[in-house]
Amino acid sequence: MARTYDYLFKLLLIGDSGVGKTCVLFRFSDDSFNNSFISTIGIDFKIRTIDLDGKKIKLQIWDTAGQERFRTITTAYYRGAMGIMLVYDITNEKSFENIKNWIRNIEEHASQDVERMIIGNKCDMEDRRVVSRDRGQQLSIEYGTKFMETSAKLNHNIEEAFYTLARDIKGKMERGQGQTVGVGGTTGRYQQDSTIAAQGNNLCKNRHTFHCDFIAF
Amino acid sequence: MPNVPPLLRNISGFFEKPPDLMNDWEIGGTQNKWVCPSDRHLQLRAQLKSGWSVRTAAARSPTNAAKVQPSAISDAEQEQIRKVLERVEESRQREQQRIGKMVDRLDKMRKRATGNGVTHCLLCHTEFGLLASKSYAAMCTDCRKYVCQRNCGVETVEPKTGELIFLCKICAESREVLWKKSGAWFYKEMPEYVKPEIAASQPGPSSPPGAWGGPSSSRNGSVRRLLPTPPSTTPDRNTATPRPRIQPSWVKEKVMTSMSVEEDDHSSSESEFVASGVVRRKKDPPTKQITQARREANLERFAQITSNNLSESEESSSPASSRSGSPRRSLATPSSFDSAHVGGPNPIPRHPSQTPTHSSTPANAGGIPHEAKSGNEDARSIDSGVVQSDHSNPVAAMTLSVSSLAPLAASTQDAQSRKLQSRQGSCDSRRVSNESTPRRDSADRENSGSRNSIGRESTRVTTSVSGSSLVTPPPLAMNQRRESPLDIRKLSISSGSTKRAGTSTDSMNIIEAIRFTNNARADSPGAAFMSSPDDDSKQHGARRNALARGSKARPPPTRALSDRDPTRQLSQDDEGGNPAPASLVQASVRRSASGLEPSLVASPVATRAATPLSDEIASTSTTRPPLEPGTLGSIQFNITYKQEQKQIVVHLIRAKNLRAMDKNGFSDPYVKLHLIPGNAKATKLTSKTIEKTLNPEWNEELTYHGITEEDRQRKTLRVTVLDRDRIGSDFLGETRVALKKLPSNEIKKFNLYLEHAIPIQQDKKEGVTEERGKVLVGVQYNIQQGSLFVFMKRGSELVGMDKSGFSDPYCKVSLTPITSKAHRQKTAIKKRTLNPEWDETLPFIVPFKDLPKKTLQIAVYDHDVGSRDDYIGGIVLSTSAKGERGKQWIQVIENPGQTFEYWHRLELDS
Repeated sequence: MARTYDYLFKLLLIGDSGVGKTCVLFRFSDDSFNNSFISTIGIDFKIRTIDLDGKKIKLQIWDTAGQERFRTITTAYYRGAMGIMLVYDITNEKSFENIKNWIRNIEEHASQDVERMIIGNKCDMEDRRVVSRDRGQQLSIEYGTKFMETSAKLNHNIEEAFYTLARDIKGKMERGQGQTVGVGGTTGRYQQDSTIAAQGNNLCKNRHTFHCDFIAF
Repeated sequence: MPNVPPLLRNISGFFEKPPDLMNDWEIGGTQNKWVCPSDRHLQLRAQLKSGWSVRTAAARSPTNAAKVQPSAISDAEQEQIRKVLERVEESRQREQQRIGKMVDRLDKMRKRATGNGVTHCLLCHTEFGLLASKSYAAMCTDCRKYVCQRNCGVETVEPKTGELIFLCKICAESREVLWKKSGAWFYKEMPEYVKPEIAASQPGPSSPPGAWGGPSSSRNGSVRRLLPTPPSTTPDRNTATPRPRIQPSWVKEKVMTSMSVEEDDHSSSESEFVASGVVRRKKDPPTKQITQARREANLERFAQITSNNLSESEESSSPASSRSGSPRRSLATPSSFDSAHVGGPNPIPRHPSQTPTHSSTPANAGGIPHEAKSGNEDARSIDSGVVQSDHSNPVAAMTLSVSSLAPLAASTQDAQSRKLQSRQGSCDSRRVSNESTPRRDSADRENSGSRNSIGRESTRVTTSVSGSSLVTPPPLAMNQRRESPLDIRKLSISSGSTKRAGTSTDSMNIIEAIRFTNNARADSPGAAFMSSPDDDSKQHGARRNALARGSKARPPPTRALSDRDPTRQLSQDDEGGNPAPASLVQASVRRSASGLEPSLVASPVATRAATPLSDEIASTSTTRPPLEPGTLGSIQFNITYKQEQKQIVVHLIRAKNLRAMDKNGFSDPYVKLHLIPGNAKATKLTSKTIEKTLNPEWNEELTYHGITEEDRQRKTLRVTVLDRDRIGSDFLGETRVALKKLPSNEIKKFNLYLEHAIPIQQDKKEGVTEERGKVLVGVQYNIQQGSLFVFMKRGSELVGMDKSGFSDPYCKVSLTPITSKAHRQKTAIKKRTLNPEWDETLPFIVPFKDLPKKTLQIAVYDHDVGSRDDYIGGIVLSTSAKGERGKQWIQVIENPGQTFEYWHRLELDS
């Protein structure tokens, strides 16, 4: 039957309002594009099943509203996401700068293991570009994520972006399993412990930064 | 995703913003929502005719209703979000059902798995007999039970280490289902699921906490991880349970004395498996998550939902299970812990208490300190190591064979300790193989050290074994070390499979006997060693070497023994990349066998020149299955590669001296052809079945279409002979032919010995997975009729889109830009096939002059009833298309009236 799939991955698109998250998603799920801007209300999701290394992977992709007023709703969906795409608009400096905030948002609300990716959308509008590719690249290196410039309008790199993210998640899944299996020996166990400890540290760190922000503001 | 009924219930509450977010600057900075309006306000309100009492926030910008509450969400929006949430809910339920189904299936599988996993296959109950001719056993890396490797297990790649490991079907499934498919790998928690029947959805209490060996110990493991001291609650059984599994001496004991040692083991295994992983599923939400929930005060509901969703309800969690925080350990790879903590395979501490009576000692299992467990990694790898090499050389087979000889060679006790040694040896060799060569020395030292401890108790065995052991006697060990894995591996050929178990003490005689028998046959086994093995078989080089490849189909029967080995040696050298681990492990197999003939083996090995001989001896002395290539019979067939038609025609002629698999002393043989690497279903061709014969004559032609030059370079034809049973089939043997060795357009004759099953190497190359299949398309423009004719001939190796692994393919062909309705056409649907033969002609009426501007799009779909058809792949023919697609189109335009046919590789996004 056509409906079956092996794995279910939940992805999330975040970014400022109007950067083209919905367009990216529609391009990927329906292969359609609409030039007019219709603000997403709260949240929405689309599903597409892709084939990756012989496995069928159902991608449940969550599209979030970029508008601030929906923030409480959208952040609630961070935690379940296995992969998050941070989208900015290459013709909009502000949206690029805000990626930092979005990342902080992720650190605060999303799962530790979430796979992240930065997407510079609207790369068809070369003439109106204000964020250079290099800057995007730089930022992604800074955060240790993958980076791609896409155009939902021209269907450029859209598939690639989602496939890349899915592949990363799948890789993580498989590695994760290996780790558990590897717990067989003492060393393995210690490793596990240390990762947990590290995670704990991270958490603390995150909370710390969170506090700082709070004070700063 | 957090989306549960409560969410729906709470959503309206959610939309009401907390008061502090309301805007309060309008009226005197008050925090109160409801205030008495000021004069100014009253004045303004009067103009609006909206009453006298106002809600502060609402009054903020009375002129613009839309801006009244910029941060609030309107009803319409709420409605919309609610709809989305309903959709989510739906899909979540579906997902729960899906997981439930998978879990249920797994549980059922476990319930059925009542074999003891030691002398009987855990899953199918097949007894691993002395003769072991029916099925060969292999140990599951996860649960450490023995299963027959033919049907009840799979070989897979350990993702972390990249090694091949063998898993019984249950463990493989639970890894897949409980860990990956359920999403538990990410959420660290088994997500909620709904079992098909309600009864089953009540988990927890029904299953004893000690459940399954794997999980139980894993639970232990996780408990330990969380608590500094081992929990007192851990039932002894937990620790004791896995014991028998890792104590291979039981196997032998069983075989030799047929004592029912198994009683205990059986019950344990039963409870272990029946219990399934239900308990394990019930976990507390990880504390982390809780904290998180607290932190997100404003998201409380959602967070709660989240954690509810992600984690199971706590109610049913037993104290023990509730303590085990990380589901990652507990569910996904239950059995990995087994090894972690069972201490079983950890040979050193065990030995002392162990030797003569194998009084299964749970003592060290429970609370061994780290030290004791330090051996575990190795211990684990012992098994994985053995298993690895195992498809060809089943562990159990090895042990059985040893034990079967034991009465002759030595006392039970001896045999047992010998076995221990062999195990241990394999452990060490395994470790050796994991590390760089220099380490081997230390491994040897260690090994011999531990061996000595045994040796004290059973000196006799030690000596007898030592003669042949890789590890012990300095001269030999050194020698072998010098000789490098190559030789060792060669020796290991001996470990073929469990077909016959010789019982004669004088194995030299056996060897000779076998050799002569083989030579007496028309085709000498020597043939086996003549040509180099296929590239694809590298991993199993040792065994593969045994078979003749393409070039020498009919070797002279008189081929001398001495000839063989050098050849083989060469071929092995060719395969430089061969993985050492397998070889070393196999060496240990060999050792265990050759322990019976210390004198015979030890001396020849000492000198390199003599190696071949000793090799031969070793191979036959393994009482077991004759690795001699002839034992499975031979098969004769011709292959023609027709380059123009891109076809490979395999003419099956006959097979000889096949194994008898049925009770009547015959088999019902048929042949399956596969092209590897490639989708097994897509490339499968099956011959007819000839009933009740060991020398079937098929005289049948099977044809592969659309074999491109690239395929030819890359692929190998795998010929498998199987015995048709009423249900399923038995394996009779297989052989392989690399397509690149085939000459073009001429008949090539083959007469090859059949080999034992060679696991297909999982080739995870990108290119391979991206393959969607191929279609043969002919195009012609007929000027008289003003039509373009598209001949949809056939497809080949399409991707299976349905659950069955097959597709119901049809083509949609359209000539774009579409100017007429008739420019969109479909072929018929071919049911359940990956190699459809449409043979349809689709006419498109189109002016010739338009042709260069047109694009011919061919898309292959899988027809589904009740859901959208799946896209298999497509191609686009146009003047601007690349490669043959463009070439064909241009040819068609340039040569009207002529048909051009090409095989095109389907692409996903065209």
